[in-house]
Amino acid sequence: MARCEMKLPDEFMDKLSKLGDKFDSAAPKVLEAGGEVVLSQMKDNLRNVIGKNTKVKSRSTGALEKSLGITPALQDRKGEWNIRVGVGDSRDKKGVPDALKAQVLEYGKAGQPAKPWMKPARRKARKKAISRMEDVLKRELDL
Amino acid sequence: MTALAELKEMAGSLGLPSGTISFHGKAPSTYLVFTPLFDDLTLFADNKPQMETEEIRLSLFTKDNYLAWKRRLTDALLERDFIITERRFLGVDDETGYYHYSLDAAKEYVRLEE
Repeated sequence: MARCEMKLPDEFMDKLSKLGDKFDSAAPKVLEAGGEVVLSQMKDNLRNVIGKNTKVKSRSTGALEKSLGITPALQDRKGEWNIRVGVGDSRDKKGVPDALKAQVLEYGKAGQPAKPWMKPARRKARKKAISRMEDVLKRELDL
Repeated sequence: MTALAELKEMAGSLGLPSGTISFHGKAPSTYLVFTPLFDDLTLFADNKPQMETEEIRLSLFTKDNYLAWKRRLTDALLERDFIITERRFLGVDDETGYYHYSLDAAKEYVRLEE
């Protein structure tokens, strides 16, 4: 019977062993770095669409932009690290949920055209966020 | 052919009135609105892009059974080799009575030199 043996390079094995000790302390920093990139792109996109081409004069107060944020990086039951970027459960002065305003802008409604800003932000920030996260991971793990 | 042109043709074959960005005129009981989401040039060879990727959001507004339309639209998109990247029920508008359902569809085209 044919036999196949695969050996990983020593340098790579060293990196993997380093990862085991340091990963949990590095993971939140890595995710926060990626989250900052996505948040910045979301804010840019929101500024470009909010209050533009409206049927009546815009009454935008800036509350939606202020509600954008990043959660702390948390570990779930499976041990995976997660972070969320977006609109929280805040409400504006009139009691309107900011998430509702974000959804109507993104998807529109009958009689109101959609002005997508969240999905394009995710697309546009993806490469930059991954690159930023790689840099922070290398720095944290001394790679 | 572009994704938008193909989607308009698809809407016509399903008997669905449609509009791009917004729907003009008196809204019927069921209609579609197309919103371009993403447009990119990919797969470079000889310093030239060989493919175009387009992603478009289809917003379905209906006063009828939205589930039946969701199924018909999903089938029609898959038949035309679109990739459905998101499907989402957004609720019913109490003021107008329209159910709102959103489908995002993407397709790659070989780029033809103009």
